[in-house]
Amino acid sequence: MPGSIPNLQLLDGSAAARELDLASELFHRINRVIPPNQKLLTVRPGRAVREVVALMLEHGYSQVPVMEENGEVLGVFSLRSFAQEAASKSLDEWQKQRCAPGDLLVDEFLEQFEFARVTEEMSRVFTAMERDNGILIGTPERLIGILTPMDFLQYLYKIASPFVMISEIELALRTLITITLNTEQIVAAAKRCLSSAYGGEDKVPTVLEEMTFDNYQSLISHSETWKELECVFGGTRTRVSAKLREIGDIRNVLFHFKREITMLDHETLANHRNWLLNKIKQAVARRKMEVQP
Amino acid sequence: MKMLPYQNALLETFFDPASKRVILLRGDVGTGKSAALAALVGRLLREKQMARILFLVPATLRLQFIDMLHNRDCPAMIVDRYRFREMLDASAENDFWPKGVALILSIDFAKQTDIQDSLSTTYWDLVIIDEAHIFRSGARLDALRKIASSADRIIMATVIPLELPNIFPIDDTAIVVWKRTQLIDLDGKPLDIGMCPVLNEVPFNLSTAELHLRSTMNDLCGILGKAIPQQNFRTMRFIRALESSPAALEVNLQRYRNQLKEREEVFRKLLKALDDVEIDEISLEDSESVTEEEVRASVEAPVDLVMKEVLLEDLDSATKEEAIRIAERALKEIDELTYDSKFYAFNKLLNQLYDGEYRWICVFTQFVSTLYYLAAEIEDRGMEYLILHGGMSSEDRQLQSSLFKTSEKILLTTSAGIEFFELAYATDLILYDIPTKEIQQLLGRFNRTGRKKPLNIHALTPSDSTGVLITEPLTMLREFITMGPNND
Repeated sequence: MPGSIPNLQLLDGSAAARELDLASELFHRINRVIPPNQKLLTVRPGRAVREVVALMLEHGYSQVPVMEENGEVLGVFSLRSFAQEAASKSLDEWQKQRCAPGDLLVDEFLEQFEFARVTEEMSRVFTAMERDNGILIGTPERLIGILTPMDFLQYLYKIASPFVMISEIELALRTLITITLNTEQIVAAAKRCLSSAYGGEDKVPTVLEEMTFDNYQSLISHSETWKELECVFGGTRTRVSAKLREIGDIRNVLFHFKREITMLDHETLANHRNWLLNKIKQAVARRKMEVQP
Repeated sequence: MKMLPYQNALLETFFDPASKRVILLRGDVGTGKSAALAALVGRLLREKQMARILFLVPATLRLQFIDMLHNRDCPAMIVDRYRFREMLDASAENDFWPKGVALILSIDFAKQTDIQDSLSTTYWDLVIIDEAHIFRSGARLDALRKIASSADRIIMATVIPLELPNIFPIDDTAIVVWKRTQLIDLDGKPLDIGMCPVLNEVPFNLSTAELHLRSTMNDLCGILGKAIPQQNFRTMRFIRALESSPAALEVNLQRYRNQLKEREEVFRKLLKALDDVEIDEISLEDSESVTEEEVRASVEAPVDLVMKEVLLEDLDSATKEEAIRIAERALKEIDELTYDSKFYAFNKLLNQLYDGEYRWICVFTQFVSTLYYLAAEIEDRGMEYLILHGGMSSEDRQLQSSLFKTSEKILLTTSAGIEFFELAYATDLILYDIPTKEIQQLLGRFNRTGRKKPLNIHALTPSDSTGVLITEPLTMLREFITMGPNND
């Protein structure tokens, strides 16, 4: 069915259909925040603190769910829960235990995290996240994942960073054009390059701030304007034009929400952004040289 | 869509009550294996509405399979990690895999331990494995054994001449082979006899600056080859990018330089978080097949692939510094390149092709950056083009493909871009890059049922290159065309 989102059809009548609805495809709910390849590290209640802390450090975790063999979650052992419990006891109490804290079992140091469903809103867990530094996903009988503030940060960065890079790229293009062309030259170039697209010179945007990304691309790629811009962009017109075209396509995917941005899209944007950053640096350095006697 | 006699025969074999548990389907490219499998699933779901069907396919093909099944009004759903979590969350039972729907999973997702465990404890009426040769060894073969153990029926499909995993008793297995030379169409005529492509080699000479860039890249590949001789896929990638276009080389060098300079530690940390990356599974053969568009094509795969590369390259700091220095030198040389001889030859070829009757021209490259490079030039000539690559959405690709058929536009594509499309009406295929592997699969997109005239293949080849990545694929291409598309 062309035009529809392919993964949204069917399951009519099945039990899963009630849950696997449009909302799970379209909205950024908790499921999306859990890292796709998260591997749950869990421990049994009878493990010694020393072993579990070593395991946590090996994996770079500060907390770990403690589970019975049947999969039931008893709580979470964390560096914090251990420290709180250890610090609350007096020396006498420790001496009565007749063993080092590391020899004790993890189930003596459990704290209770809240549970959330994968289909819940992100904002629903903020309070618990702030309080406990984590939240368990699923139910006490079936643990599906664990979420930490870092997972949220990485998720939001993943979503936001392409937009930020696109804005940097557009502003860098504007700056490079402004460095090279004065206002009159920009107006002339706009009329020359954009008239056919706008159906006449009088309809053409003549201020860079009013132009679209496609307009920048046309302006820079035009053979006449290129002669003036070549000194700041370097390389060949075709290669620069190809880069702008590729950025433009990713921008379209991003702004029209056509599909998820892949890691390579991200990397392409980052590469082109860095390329423009270099060009800006070079242009600024050239300018300084020109100003200095 | 009308099924051909041999496709119907497959369905009859499957639905015959005396049929064996396992069907191994080996067929030439372009013989319609996927369509037949989709039809088979459709019929099974009509006959047994609550059947549980599992489709294991490469990640890049999931959307195409789902489109194919939906086009046959067949309920189907892709299950990835997110969907799996939702299914877990929505059911208190362990038996949560839905019935009455074809579930499509990527092979890499299915082999993850928890997914494998869950699949193997579920009863499946049918498990279909496309590109099943991938399961021939290692962890994938173990996963296949496990998953297949709980399946009532199994179909494994692949293209000739690739071999299928040999794990089922022969008494339990029916083998179906589709060779084009032995197949007949609806009219009872042999399928596509006499449609051998015609090869036109387009030589060009490299300029002094281009030869100089090659020498710089040789230096870089040389030190990488010494530092990590067992992992020369990086150098292979560089050479392929160098042979493709300055744009492709620039992107690859920039990426590499950035990884070496800034990102290695980040990648290492990310890698640790991935549970299913199996470094030991990367063979040179696998890594050679990884190109930009293949990586782009998958939402799941790229993280693994990029990180595997970085992890495998453990350069000492002196070598790293030297590699960065040479990479930067090469980037500077690219920036100063004003003439691209291959590009010039391509332009000349386009002029020749457009001098006569109208043609449907498709240009193939292995790199997305080369794709845009060519697009920029074609547009500059006032010509229109269409772009297809694996990173595009399935809908966009379908739209572009149908526009190619009905408009006078040049189609620029990667192999992932035209995966699943039938381009029997294309008159000319320009190999801007000669595929290093899978020439048969690529040409299979063009050499399909319905072709009226032989396909003209134009291969751009540097006359002064002795690089193995040019000469070997070119030899393979020549042999393939000389022997005809119907050979094994």
